Amino acid sequence: MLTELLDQHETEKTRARLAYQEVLAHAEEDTEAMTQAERRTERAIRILRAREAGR
Amino acid sequence: MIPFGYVLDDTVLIELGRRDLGLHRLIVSFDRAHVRTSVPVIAFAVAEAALSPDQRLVLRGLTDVLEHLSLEPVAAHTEAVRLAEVTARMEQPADMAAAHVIAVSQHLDWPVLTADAGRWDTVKAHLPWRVDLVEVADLN
Repeated sequence: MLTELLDQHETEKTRARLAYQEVLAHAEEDTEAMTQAERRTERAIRILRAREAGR
Repeated sequence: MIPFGYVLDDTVLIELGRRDLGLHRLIVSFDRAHVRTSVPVIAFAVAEAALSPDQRLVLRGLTDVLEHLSLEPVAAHTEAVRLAEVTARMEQPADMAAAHVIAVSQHLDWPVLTADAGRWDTVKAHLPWRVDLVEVADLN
């Protein structure tokens, strides 16, 4: 019974990981959009650093 | 690792579950740049409730895979007290997803990342504190 539950948990976890990885692979196909996301991340980091510096 | 980061609200989590590719690119890019992200479990539960079973899998997979993402539980008195302090100041019945996001944001001292700043208008209007919001569109 416990083994069954653990197997079920692992299966669900694997399905979830695969579902996410499929979306991620699709997102990464557009390399230009990924570069834009990296620029947006740099802005997000600047916001955090400015916030910290203002304390 | 950057010692601070963003608390993700339910609007971001819902859009991630709905496979918003732009948002997925942003969040994975955060993770690769070692920007930390925090997911309050009540916001996570509210987001899951708005999603289909397939969409929920995407959201669960994301929270499992990303290295610098952490789920924030309400597992002990300290977290319950922090949540209660925010909830008590809210218009009743309290928006529990927002309450948990604010409690985690205050505790970590990280801003909230939202896909829709308008989602916070009513919440902010009734709180005595400033809610530090960054809208995804602000990063364009």
